[in-house]
Amino acid sequence: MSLDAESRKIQGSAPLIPSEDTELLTRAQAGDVAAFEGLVERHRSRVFGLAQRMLNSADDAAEVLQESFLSAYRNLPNFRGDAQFGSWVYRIAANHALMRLRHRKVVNQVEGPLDGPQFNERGSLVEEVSDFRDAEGEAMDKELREAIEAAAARLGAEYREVFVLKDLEGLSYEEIAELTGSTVPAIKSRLHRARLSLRTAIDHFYQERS
Amino acid sequence: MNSSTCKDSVELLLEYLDGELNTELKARLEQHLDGCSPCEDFLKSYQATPALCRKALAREMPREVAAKLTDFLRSEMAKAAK
Ligand SMILES: [Zn+2]
Repeated sequence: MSLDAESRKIQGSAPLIPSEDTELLTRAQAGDVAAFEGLVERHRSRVFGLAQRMLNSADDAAEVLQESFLSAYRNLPNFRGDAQFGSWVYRIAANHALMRLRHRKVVNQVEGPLDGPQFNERGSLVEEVSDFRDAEGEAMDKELREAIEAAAARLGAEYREVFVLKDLEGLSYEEIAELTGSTVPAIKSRLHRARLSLRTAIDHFYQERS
Repeated sequence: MNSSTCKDSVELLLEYLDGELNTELKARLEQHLDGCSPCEDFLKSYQATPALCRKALAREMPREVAAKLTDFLRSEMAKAAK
């Protein structure tokens, strides 16, 4: 199962040709404002999507978007052509978004352990599990979407960041470790807790519905 | 070694789906899943969760955000050029 391929598809932007970035970058570094704007145009929606999902706020995401491209602009002279502009600005944005996420208090944040499955004293699952339907290409049920949004909003920062970066953005564990400063085992453990918590929320939604 | 519980099994799901479990743990988990329909259903729901969340949390960038970004960067670049 490849979550990564799936998430790239969902981001929905046309495949970007890196060589076009290289040409725009060379011109932007020489002071061509239109070329820099070309780079911004090619990468802004991916950056916005990341920040929006990390911070769960369009206003905060818009600010991260501005900060990130301004920072990229100011650092253009230091940027070396051996990296891709897209991954460079994405990394700048991820750092800005992470900093904001960690410095703010999440409203409704779960205190203590996250929701997860219930087991009896012998360690057996005691609940019935709903059938999760995800019709490919079909629009998502509005109430289900709201249930997922609410559950994602309750995740603490350390859970939210790994869940967004891995399951929504499709980064590798190693990339996440580099961005967050956490170890891969710690990232996996938090990702598992986040998935269990979101799974529970979706399960409750289906149980209540039936 | 067929004493593994649902609780043990749930703990292995992330690494199982990543293809990272060693042979022994993988065999033990698969044996449990074969004989436990709640866990089999649980695995399906666990596996479906990320895709459902991606769908629920997907956002398009509003057009006015793009326009504001352009204005912001133009004014900053103009300041820098002075
Ligand atoms: Zn079981």
